[in-house]
Amino acid sequence: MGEREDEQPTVHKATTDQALPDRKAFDRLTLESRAAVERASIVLVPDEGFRDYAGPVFPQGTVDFLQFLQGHAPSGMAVAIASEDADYKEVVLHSDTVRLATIFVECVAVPVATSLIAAYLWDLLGSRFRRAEARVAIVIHRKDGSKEHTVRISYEGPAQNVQEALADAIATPPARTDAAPTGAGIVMKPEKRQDKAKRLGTKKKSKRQR
Amino acid sequence: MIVEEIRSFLKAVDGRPVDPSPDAVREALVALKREAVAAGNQPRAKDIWCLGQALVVQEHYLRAFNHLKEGAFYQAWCALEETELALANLERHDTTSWADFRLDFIQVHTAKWQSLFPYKMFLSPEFLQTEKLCSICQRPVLPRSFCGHRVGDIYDGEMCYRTVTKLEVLGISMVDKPVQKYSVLFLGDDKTGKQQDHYNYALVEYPIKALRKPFDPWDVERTSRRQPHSRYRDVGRNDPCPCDSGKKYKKCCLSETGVLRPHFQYTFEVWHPDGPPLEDQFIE
Repeated sequence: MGEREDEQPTVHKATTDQALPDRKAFDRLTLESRAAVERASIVLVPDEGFRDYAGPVFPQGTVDFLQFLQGHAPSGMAVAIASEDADYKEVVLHSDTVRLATIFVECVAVPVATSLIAAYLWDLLGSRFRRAEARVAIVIHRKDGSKEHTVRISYEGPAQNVQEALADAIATPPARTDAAPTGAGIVMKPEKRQDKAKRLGTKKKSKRQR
Repeated sequence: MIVEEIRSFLKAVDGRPVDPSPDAVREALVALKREAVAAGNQPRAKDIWCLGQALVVQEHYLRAFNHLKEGAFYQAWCALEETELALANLERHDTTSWADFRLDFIQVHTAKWQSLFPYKMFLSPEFLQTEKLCSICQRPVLPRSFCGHRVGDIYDGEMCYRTVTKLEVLGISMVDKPVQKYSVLFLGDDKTGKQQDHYNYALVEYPIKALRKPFDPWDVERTSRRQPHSRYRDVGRNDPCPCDSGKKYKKCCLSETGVLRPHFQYTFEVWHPDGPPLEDQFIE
Protein backbone atom coordinates (compact mmCIF):
# COMPACT_ATOMS: atom_id res chain seq x y z
CA MET A 1 0.00 0.00 0.00
CA GLY A 2 1.66 3.18 -1.12
CA GLU A 3 1.87 6.50 0.59
CA ARG A 4 -1.45 8.27 0.98
CA GLU A 5 -1.81 11.64 -0.54
CA ASP A 6 -3.04 14.32 1.82
CA GLU A 7 -6.62 15.12 1.02
CA GLN A 8 -8.17 18.46 1.83
CA PRO A 9 -10.72 18.27 4.63
CA THR A 10 -14.21 19.51 3.81
CA VAL A 11 -16.52 21.45 6.09
CA HIS A 12 -20.14 22.06 5.12
CA LYS A 13 -22.28 24.52 7.00
CA ALA A 14 -25.92 25.36 6.29
CA THR A 15 -28.95 26.60 8.16
CA THR A 16 -31.78 24.13 8.41
CA ASP A 17 -35.37 24.36 9.51
CA GLN A 18 -35.42 20.87 10.88
CA ALA A 19 -35.66 20.94 14.65
CA LEU A 20 -35.34 17.67 16.51
CA PRO A 21 -39.07 17.12 17.22
CA ASP A 22 -39.62 17.17 13.44
CA ARG A 23 -37.22 14.38 12.79
CA LYS A 24 -38.62 10.95 12.02
CA ALA A 25 -36.50 9.46 14.77
CA PHE A 26 -38.32 11.48 17.39
CA ASP A 27 -41.70 10.16 16.26
CA ARG A 28 -40.63 6.58 16.87
CA LEU A 29 -39.75 7.15 20.50
CA THR A 30 -41.88 6.26 23.49
CA LEU A 31 -43.18 9.15 25.58
CA GLU A 32 -40.59 8.41 28.24
CA SER A 33 -37.73 8.46 25.74
CA ARG A 34 -39.07 11.62 24.10
CA ALA A 35 -39.03 13.34 27.47
CA ALA A 36 -35.42 12.22 28.01
CA VAL A 37 -34.41 13.50 24.57
CA GLU A 38 -36.14 16.83 25.13
CA ARG A 39 -34.31 17.28 28.43
CA ALA A 40 -30.92 16.45 26.90
CA SER A 41 -28.45 19.07 25.68
CA ILE A 42 -26.72 16.58 23.39
CA VAL A 43 -28.70 14.02 21.38
CA LEU A 44 -27.40 11.37 18.99
CA VAL A 45 -29.75 11.08 16.03
CA PRO A 46 -29.85 8.37 13.34
CA ASP A 47 -29.47 8.78 9.62
CA GLU A 48 -32.53 7.78 7.67
CA GLY A 49 -31.62 4.81 5.52
CA PHE A 50 -28.53 3.53 3.80
CA ARG A 51 -28.44 2.00 0.29
CA ASP A 52 -31.66 -0.05 -0.05
CA TYR A 53 -32.38 -0.03 3.67
CA ALA A 54 -34.90 2.69 4.52
CA GLY A 55 -35.00 2.65 8.34
CA PRO A 56 -33.01 4.61 10.91
CA VAL A 57 -29.35 3.65 11.21
CA PHE A 58 -26.40 4.71 13.30
CA PRO A 59 -22.71 4.38 12.42
CA GLN A 60 -20.73 1.53 13.93
CA GLY A 61 -19.80 1.99 17.58
CA THR A 62 -22.54 4.53 18.40
CA VAL A 63 -23.35 2.77 21.70
CA ASP A 64 -19.73 3.17 22.77
CA PHE A 65 -19.75 6.81 21.63
CA LEU A 66 -22.94 7.42 23.64
CA GLN A 67 -21.40 5.83 26.74
CA PHE A 68 -18.32 8.01 26.36
CA LEU A 69 -20.41 11.18 26.05
CA GLN A 70 -22.58 10.24 29.02
CA GLY A 71 -19.52 9.38 31.09
CA HIS A 72 -17.60 12.56 30.27
CA ALA A 73 -20.25 15.29 29.91
CA PRO A 74 -20.35 17.77 32.82
CA SER A 75 -22.95 17.06 35.49
CA GLY A 76 -26.26 18.63 34.59
CA MET A 77 -25.62 18.29 30.86
CA ALA A 78 -27.71 15.31 29.76
CA VAL A 79 -26.79 13.18 26.75
CA ALA A 80 -29.43 10.99 25.04
CA ILE A 81 -30.00 8.95 21.93
CA ALA A 82 -33.06 9.27 19.68
CA SER A 83 -33.65 5.55 19.34
CA GLU A 84 -35.33 2.73 21.20
CA ASP A 85 -33.35 -0.45 21.74
CA ALA A 86 -35.71 -2.36 19.45
CA ASP A 87 -35.06 0.00 16.52
CA TYR A 88 -31.32 0.32 17.05
CA LYS A 89 -29.24 -0.80 14.06
CA GLU A 90 -25.71 0.03 12.98
CA VAL A 91 -24.26 0.37 9.51
CA VAL A 92 -20.73 -0.95 9.27
CA LEU A 93 -18.57 0.39 6.49
CA HIS A 94 -15.12 -1.08 6.26
CA SER A 95 -13.50 2.11 5.13
CA ASP A 96 -10.89 3.49 7.50
CA THR A 97 -12.77 6.75 8.09
CA VAL A 98 -14.25 6.93 11.59
CA ARG A 99 -17.91 7.92 11.31
CA LEU A 100 -19.72 9.32 14.30
CA ALA A 101 -23.46 9.61 14.76
CA THR A 102 -24.98 13.01 13.98
CA ILE A 103 -25.14 15.08 17.15
CA PHE A 104 -28.06 17.40 17.78
CA VAL A 105 -26.79 19.91 20.30
CA GLU A 106 -28.22 22.87 22.14
CA CYS A 107 -26.30 26.09 21.50
CA VAL A 108 -24.95 26.34 25.05
CA ALA A 109 -23.49 22.85 24.88
CA VAL A 110 -21.59 23.31 21.60
CA PRO A 111 -18.11 23.88 23.13
CA VAL A 112 -18.56 20.84 25.35
CA ALA A 113 -19.81 18.74 22.42
CA THR A 114 -16.87 19.61 20.15
CA SER A 115 -14.38 18.91 22.96
CA LEU A 116 -16.02 15.58 23.69
CA ILE A 117 -15.94 14.60 20.02
CA ALA A 118 -12.21 15.29 19.85
CA ALA A 119 -11.61 13.49 23.16
CA TYR A 120 -13.57 10.45 21.98
CA LEU A 121 -11.60 10.25 18.73
CA TRP A 122 -8.36 10.51 20.70
CA ASP A 123 -9.50 7.74 23.06
CA LEU A 124 -10.69 5.55 20.20
CA LEU A 125 -7.78 5.96 17.84
CA GLY A 126 -4.75 6.10 20.14
CA SER A 127 -1.61 6.51 18.07
CA ARG A 128 -3.73 6.48 14.86
CA PHE A 129 -5.28 9.81 15.92
CA ARG A 130 -2.72 11.82 13.93
CA ARG A 131 -3.22 9.99 10.66
CA ALA A 132 -6.85 8.78 10.79
CA GLU A 133 -9.77 10.43 9.04
CA ALA A 134 -13.10 11.20 10.68
CA ARG A 135 -16.58 12.18 9.53
CA VAL A 136 -18.63 14.19 11.98
CA ALA A 137 -21.90 16.12 11.76
CA ILE A 138 -23.43 18.36 14.39
CA VAL A 139 -26.76 20.17 14.24
CA ILE A 140 -26.78 23.23 16.50
CA HIS A 141 -30.15 24.27 17.87
CA ARG A 142 -30.81 27.79 19.15
CA LYS A 143 -34.03 29.17 20.52
CA ASP A 144 -34.48 32.89 20.06
CA GLY A 145 -37.77 33.84 21.73
CA SER A 146 -40.47 32.05 19.78
CA LYS A 147 -38.15 31.38 16.84
CA GLU A 148 -35.96 28.33 16.54
CA HIS A 149 -32.85 28.07 14.39
CA THR A 150 -30.77 25.07 13.49
CA VAL A 151 -27.44 25.01 11.72
CA ARG A 152 -25.87 21.83 10.43
CA ILE A 153 -22.10 21.52 10.23
CA SER A 154 -20.48 18.45 8.77
CA TYR A 155 -16.78 17.74 8.64
CA GLU A 156 -14.72 15.12 6.89
CA GLY A 157 -10.96 15.14 7.19
CA PRO A 158 -8.11 14.43 9.59
CA ALA A 159 -9.39 13.35 13.01
CA GLN A 160 -6.88 15.57 14.78
CA ASN A 161 -8.36 18.72 13.17
CA VAL A 162 -12.00 18.06 14.07
CA GLN A 163 -12.25 20.38 17.05
CA GLU A 164 -10.52 23.30 15.38
CA ALA A 165 -12.45 22.89 12.12
CA LEU A 166 -15.80 22.75 13.90
CA ALA A 167 -14.92 25.79 16.02
CA ASP A 168 -13.92 27.75 12.89
CA ALA A 169 -17.12 26.71 11.11
CA ILE A 170 -19.28 27.69 14.08
CA ALA A 171 -17.67 31.13 14.14
CA THR A 172 -18.44 31.69 10.44
CA PRO A 173 -21.96 32.78 9.33
CA PRO A 174 -23.81 29.98 7.55
CA ALA A 175 -25.33 30.04 4.08
CA ARG A 176 -29.10 29.92 3.87
CA THR A 177 -30.15 26.90 1.84
CA ASP A 178 -33.89 26.55 2.23
CA ALA A 179 -34.14 24.23 -0.77
CA ALA A 180 -31.81 21.71 0.80
CA PRO A 181 -32.59 21.78 4.49
CA THR A 182 -30.20 19.15 5.71
CA GLY A 183 -28.06 18.48 2.69
CA ALA A 184 -25.43 20.42 0.89
CA GLY A 185 -24.46 23.83 2.11
CA ILE A 186 -21.48 25.99 1.46
CA VAL A 187 -18.15 24.33 1.25
CA MET A 188 -15.64 26.21 3.31
CA LYS A 189 -12.14 25.64 2.18
CA PRO A 190 -9.84 25.31 5.17
CA GLU A 191 -7.99 28.49 5.87
CA LYS A 192 -4.38 28.43 4.75
CA ARG A 193 -1.90 28.32 7.59
CA GLN A 194 -0.20 31.57 6.57
CA ASP A 195 -3.56 33.36 6.23
CA LYS A 196 -4.62 32.23 9.67
CA ALA A 197 -1.28 33.29 11.14
CA LYS A 198 -1.73 36.68 9.47
CA ARG A 199 -5.27 37.01 10.85
CA LEU A 200 -4.18 36.08 14.35
CA GLY A 201 -1.08 38.22 14.17
CA THR A 202 1.22 35.27 14.75
CA LYS A 203 2.88 35.25 11.35
CA LYS A 204 6.64 35.02 11.63
CA LYS A 205 8.49 37.91 10.11
CA SER A 206 10.93 37.15 7.36
CA LYS A 207 14.58 38.05 7.80
CA ARG A 208 14.11 41.00 5.47
CA GLN A 209 11.19 42.34 7.54
CA ARG A 210 13.22 42.08 10.71
CA MET B 1 7.19 -20.58 34.81
CA ILE B 2 7.06 -17.26 36.61
CA VAL B 3 6.35 -13.80 35.16
CA GLU B 4 10.02 -12.79 35.17
CA GLU B 5 10.93 -15.82 33.06
CA ILE B 6 8.23 -14.87 30.57
CA ARG B 7 9.53 -11.31 30.43
CA SER B 8 13.03 -12.64 29.75
CA PHE B 9 11.61 -14.80 26.98
CA LEU B 10 9.89 -11.79 25.40
CA LYS B 11 13.06 -9.69 25.68
CA ALA B 12 15.04 -12.37 23.83
CA VAL B 13 12.84 -12.20 20.72
CA ASP B 14 15.87 -11.50 18.53
CA GLY B 15 17.61 -14.75 19.49
CA ARG B 16 15.45 -17.04 21.54
CA PRO B 17 16.66 -20.37 22.89
CA VAL B 18 14.72 -23.43 21.75
CA ASP B 19 13.41 -24.00 25.26
CA PRO B 20 10.90 -22.79 26.36
CA SER B 21 8.78 -22.80 23.23
CA PRO B 22 6.20 -20.09 22.53
CA ASP B 23 3.50 -22.71 23.17
CA ALA B 24 4.92 -23.41 26.63
CA VAL B 25 4.94 -19.68 27.37
CA ARG B 26 1.31 -19.36 26.21
CA GLU B 27 0.29 -22.21 28.52
CA ALA B 28 2.13 -20.61 31.43
CA LEU B 29 0.36 -17.30 30.75
CA VAL B 30 -3.04 -19.01 30.78
CA ALA B 31 -2.26 -20.66 34.14
CA LEU B 32 -0.96 -17.42 35.66
CA LYS B 33 -4.00 -15.51 34.47
CA ARG B 34 -6.35 -18.12 35.91
CA GLU B 35 -4.61 -17.79 39.28
CA ALA B 36 -4.85 -13.98 39.20
CA VAL B 37 -8.56 -14.04 38.30
CA ALA B 38 -9.29 -16.63 41.01
CA ALA B 39 -7.56 -14.36 43.52
CA GLY B 40 -9.62 -11.38 42.30
CA ASN B 41 -6.40 -9.59 41.29
CA GLN B 42 -7.59 -7.68 38.22
CA PRO B 43 -4.44 -5.54 37.74
CA ARG B 44 -2.27 -8.68 37.69
CA ALA B 45 -4.66 -10.41 35.29
CA LYS B 46 -4.39 -7.38 33.02
CA ASP B 47 -0.57 -7.37 33.23
CA ILE B 48 -0.54 -11.01 32.20
CA TRP B 49 -2.89 -10.27 29.29
CA CYS B 50 -0.42 -7.56 28.21
CA LEU B 51 2.47 -10.06 28.26
CA GLY B 52 0.37 -12.48 26.22
CA GLN B 53 -0.49 -9.77 23.73
CA ALA B 54 3.20 -8.82 23.41
CA LEU B 55 3.89 -12.45 22.51
CA VAL B 56 1.05 -12.35 19.94
CA VAL B 57 2.59 -9.26 18.32
CA GLN B 58 6.05 -10.83 18.18
CA GLU B 59 4.71 -14.07 16.72
CA HIS B 60 2.73 -12.27 14.02
CA TYR B 61 5.71 -10.14 13.05
CA LEU B 62 8.10 -13.10 12.90
CA ARG B 63 5.54 -14.97 10.78
CA ALA B 64 5.27 -11.97 8.45
CA PHE B 65 9.06 -11.84 8.08
CA ASN B 66 9.21 -15.57 7.29
CA HIS B 67 6.45 -15.22 4.69
CA LEU B 68 8.36 -12.34 3.09
CA LYS B 69 11.50 -14.45 2.97
CA GLU B 70 9.52 -17.26 1.31
CA GLY B 71 8.01 -14.87 -1.23
CA ALA B 72 4.49 -15.49 0.12
CA PHE B 73 3.65 -11.81 -0.08
CA TYR B 74 -0.11 -11.83 0.44
CA GLN B 75 0.30 -14.08 3.51
CA ALA B 76 2.97 -11.66 4.75
CA TRP B 77 0.58 -8.76 4.16
CA CYS B 78 -2.10 -10.48 6.28
CA ALA B 79 0.40 -11.24 9.05
CA LEU B 80 1.50 -7.57 9.04
CA GLU B 81 -2.15 -6.54 9.35
CA GLU B 82 -2.55 -8.90 12.33
CA THR B 83 0.60 -7.40 13.84
CA GLU B 84 -0.82 -3.89 13.46
CA LEU B 85 -4.16 -4.85 15.01
CA ALA B 86 -2.53 -6.68 17.94
CA LEU B 87 -0.27 -3.68 18.59
CA ALA B 88 -3.28 -1.33 18.56
CA ASN B 89 -5.05 -3.53 21.12
CA LEU B 90 -2.02 -3.50 23.39
CA GLU B 91 -1.11 0.15 22.94
CA ARG B 92 -3.93 1.57 25.04
CA HIS B 93 -2.92 -0.56 28.04
CA ASP B 94 0.82 -0.80 28.21
CA THR B 95 3.72 0.70 26.31
CA THR B 96 6.24 0.60 29.18
CA SER B 97 7.91 -2.62 28.01
CA TRP B 98 7.75 -1.89 24.28
CA ALA B 99 11.44 -1.16 23.90
CA ASP B 100 12.42 -4.25 25.93
CA PHE B 101 10.19 -6.52 23.86
CA ARG B 102 11.16 -4.82 20.54
CA LEU B 103 7.54 -3.79 19.99
CA ASP B 104 8.56 -0.24 19.08
CA PHE B 105 10.79 -1.68 16.33
CA ILE B 106 7.94 -3.91 15.20
CA GLN B 107 5.49 -0.99 15.08
CA VAL B 108 7.79 1.18 12.98
CA HIS B 109 8.85 -1.60 10.62
CA THR B 110 5.36 -3.03 10.19
CA ALA B 111 4.32 0.36 8.78
CA LYS B 112 7.44 0.44 6.56
CA TRP B 113 6.73 -2.98 5.08
CA GLN B 114 3.07 -2.12 4.53
CA SER B 115 4.00 1.09 2.72
CA LEU B 116 6.05 -0.88 0.16
CA PHE B 117 3.27 -3.23 -0.90
CA PRO B 118 1.66 -2.60 -4.28
CA TYR B 119 -1.92 -3.07 -3.03
CA LYS B 120 -3.97 0.07 -3.70
CA MET B 121 -7.63 -0.96 -3.82
CA PHE B 122 -9.56 -3.21 -1.46
CA LEU B 123 -13.04 -4.66 -1.23
CA SER B 124 -15.07 -3.23 1.58
CA PRO B 125 -18.26 -5.00 2.67
CA GLU B 126 -21.11 -2.89 4.02
CA PHE B 127 -23.22 -4.49 6.74
CA LEU B 128 -26.34 -3.66 8.65
CA GLN B 129 -25.78 -5.04 12.13
CA THR B 130 -29.01 -6.00 13.80
CA GLU B 131 -27.57 -7.85 16.80
CA LYS B 132 -24.21 -7.87 18.47
CA LEU B 133 -23.10 -9.22 21.80
CA CYS B 134 -20.55 -8.16 24.37
CA SER B 135 -17.72 -10.73 24.52
CA ILE B 136 -17.48 -10.42 28.30
CA CYS B 137 -21.11 -10.88 29.41
CA GLN B 138 -22.72 -12.12 26.15
CA ARG B 139 -25.50 -9.53 26.52
CA PRO B 140 -26.74 -7.60 23.48
CA VAL B 141 -25.07 -4.22 22.98
CA LEU B 142 -27.91 -1.70 23.04
CA PRO B 143 -28.01 2.02 23.81
CA ARG B 144 -30.64 1.97 26.58
CA SER B 145 -29.62 -1.27 28.27
CA PHE B 146 -25.86 -1.14 27.99
CA CYS B 147 -23.89 -3.74 29.93
CA GLY B 148 -21.11 -1.30 30.81
CA HIS B 149 -18.20 -3.26 29.28
CA ARG B 150 -16.08 -1.03 27.07
CA VAL B 151 -14.55 -2.33 23.86
CA GLY B 152 -10.81 -2.77 24.27
CA ASP B 153 -10.84 -2.77 28.08
CA ILE B 154 -9.59 -5.82 29.99
CA TYR B 155 -11.92 -7.79 32.27
CA ASP B 156 -10.68 -10.93 34.05
CA GLY B 157 -7.63 -10.85 31.82
CA GLU B 158 -9.64 -10.82 28.58
CA MET B 159 -10.13 -7.96 26.15
CA CYS B 160 -13.70 -6.84 25.52
CA TYR B 161 -14.87 -6.94 21.91
CA ARG B 162 -18.20 -7.25 20.11
CA THR B 163 -19.49 -10.37 18.40
CA VAL B 164 -21.91 -9.67 15.57
CA THR B 165 -24.58 -12.38 15.62
CA LYS B 166 -27.08 -11.01 13.08
CA LEU B 167 -26.31 -8.92 10.04
CA GLU B 168 -27.44 -8.14 6.53
CA VAL B 169 -25.01 -7.46 3.72
CA LEU B 170 -25.95 -4.15 2.11
CA GLY B 171 -23.26 -4.00 -0.52
CA ILE B 172 -19.60 -4.28 -1.36
CA SER B 173 -17.59 -1.29 -2.42
CA MET B 174 -14.03 -0.65 -3.45
CA VAL B 175 -11.99 1.57 -1.14
CA ASP B 176 -8.40 2.72 -0.93
CA LYS B 177 -8.40 3.04 2.88
CA PRO B 178 -9.89 -0.11 4.37
CA VAL B 179 -10.33 -0.84 8.08
CA GLN B 180 -9.05 -4.35 7.58
CA LYS B 181 -6.51 -4.77 4.86
CA TYR B 182 -7.08 -8.45 4.08
CA SER B 183 -9.50 -7.92 1.20
CA VAL B 184 -6.95 -7.27 -1.56
CA LEU B 185 -8.21 -7.40 -5.14
CA PHE B 186 -6.71 -10.17 -7.27
CA LEU B 187 -7.40 -11.10 -10.87
CA GLY B 188 -8.91 -14.47 -11.71
CA ASP B 189 -7.76 -16.75 -14.49
CA ASP B 190 -10.27 -16.60 -17.37
CA LYS B 191 -10.25 -20.34 -17.96
CA THR B 192 -9.77 -21.91 -14.54
CA GLY B 193 -11.20 -19.11 -12.40
CA LYS B 194 -8.23 -19.51 -10.07
CA GLN B 195 -6.83 -16.49 -8.31
CA GLN B 196 -3.77 -14.92 -9.90
CA ASP B 197 -1.29 -12.70 -8.12
CA HIS B 198 -0.61 -10.02 -10.74
CA TYR B 199 1.17 -7.57 -8.45
CA ASN B 200 4.76 -6.41 -8.76
CA TYR B 201 6.47 -6.88 -5.38
CA ALA B 202 9.87 -5.52 -6.39
CA LEU B 203 9.84 -2.82 -3.69
CA VAL B 204 9.30 -5.48 -1.01
CA GLU B 205 11.63 -8.03 -2.56
CA TYR B 206 14.66 -5.77 -2.51
CA PRO B 207 14.84 -5.15 1.27
CA ILE B 208 13.80 -8.67 2.27
CA LYS B 209 16.66 -10.11 0.23
CA ALA B 210 19.07 -7.72 1.92
CA LEU B 211 18.00 -8.62 5.46
CA ARG B 212 19.33 -11.60 7.37
CA LYS B 213 17.28 -11.30 10.56
CA PRO B 214 13.86 -9.85 11.40
CA PHE B 215 15.35 -7.25 13.73
CA ASP B 216 18.19 -6.00 11.53
CA PRO B 217 17.49 -2.24 11.25
CA TRP B 218 16.68 -0.81 7.82
CA ASP B 219 15.01 2.24 6.42
CA VAL B 220 13.49 3.48 3.21
CA GLU B 221 13.37 7.02 1.90
CA ARG B 222 11.04 8.16 -0.87
CA THR B 223 12.24 10.79 -3.28
CA SER B 224 11.87 11.51 -7.00
CA ARG B 225 14.54 11.05 -9.64
CA ARG B 226 14.65 11.67 -13.38
CA GLN B 227 14.91 8.49 -15.45
CA PRO B 228 16.55 8.67 -18.91
CA HIS B 229 14.16 9.21 -21.83
CA SER B 230 15.65 6.11 -23.48
CA ARG B 231 13.51 4.03 -21.11
CA TYR B 232 10.36 5.55 -22.54
CA ARG B 233 11.03 5.23 -26.30
CA ASP B 234 7.62 3.68 -26.86
CA VAL B 235 5.87 6.75 -25.44
CA GLY B 236 4.82 9.26 -28.13
CA ARG B 237 5.22 13.04 -27.81
CA ASN B 238 1.47 13.48 -27.53
CA ASP B 239 0.94 10.54 -25.16
CA PRO B 240 0.39 11.11 -21.44
CA CYS B 241 3.68 11.78 -19.67
CA PRO B 242 5.10 8.65 -17.98
CA CYS B 243 5.52 10.67 -14.79
CA ASP B 244 1.72 10.41 -14.31
CA SER B 245 1.26 14.18 -14.19
CA GLY B 246 -1.71 13.95 -16.55
CA LYS B 247 -0.04 16.32 -19.04
CA LYS B 248 1.24 15.41 -22.50
CA TYR B 249 4.78 14.04 -22.59
CA LYS B 250 5.94 16.93 -24.83
CA LYS B 251 4.50 19.49 -22.41
CA CYS B 252 5.92 17.85 -19.32
CA CYS B 253 9.11 15.82 -18.88
CA LEU B 254 10.22 15.60 -22.53
CA SER B 255 11.97 18.95 -22.34
CA GLU B 256 13.67 17.96 -19.08
CA THR B 257 16.74 15.80 -18.52
CA GLY B 258 14.56 12.78 -17.86
CA VAL B 259 11.19 11.53 -16.70
CA LEU B 260 10.46 12.26 -13.05
CA ARG B 261 9.65 8.99 -11.32
CA PRO B 262 9.40 7.86 -7.68
CA HIS B 263 12.73 6.75 -6.26
CA PHE B 264 13.13 4.52 -3.21
CA GLN B 265 16.43 4.58 -1.36
CA TYR B 266 17.07 1.82 1.18
CA THR B 267 19.51 1.94 4.08
CA PHE B 268 20.69 -1.20 5.86
CA GLU B 269 22.82 -1.42 8.98
CA VAL B 270 23.73 -5.04 8.34
CA TRP B 271 24.26 -6.17 4.76
CA HIS B 272 23.36 -9.72 3.78
CA PRO B 273 26.34 -11.26 1.93
CA ASP B 274 23.90 -12.84 -0.55
CA GLY B 275 21.80 -9.69 -0.79
CA PRO B 276 20.68 -7.99 -3.99
CA PRO B 277 23.08 -5.79 -5.99
CA LEU B 278 23.82 -2.40 -4.48
CA GLU B 279 23.50 -0.37 -7.67
CA ASP B 280 20.27 1.35 -8.77
CA GLN B 281 17.52 -0.89 -10.06
CA PHE B 282 14.80 0.14 -12.45
CA ILE B 283 11.35 -1.28 -11.79
CA GLU B 284 8.89 -1.36 -14.66
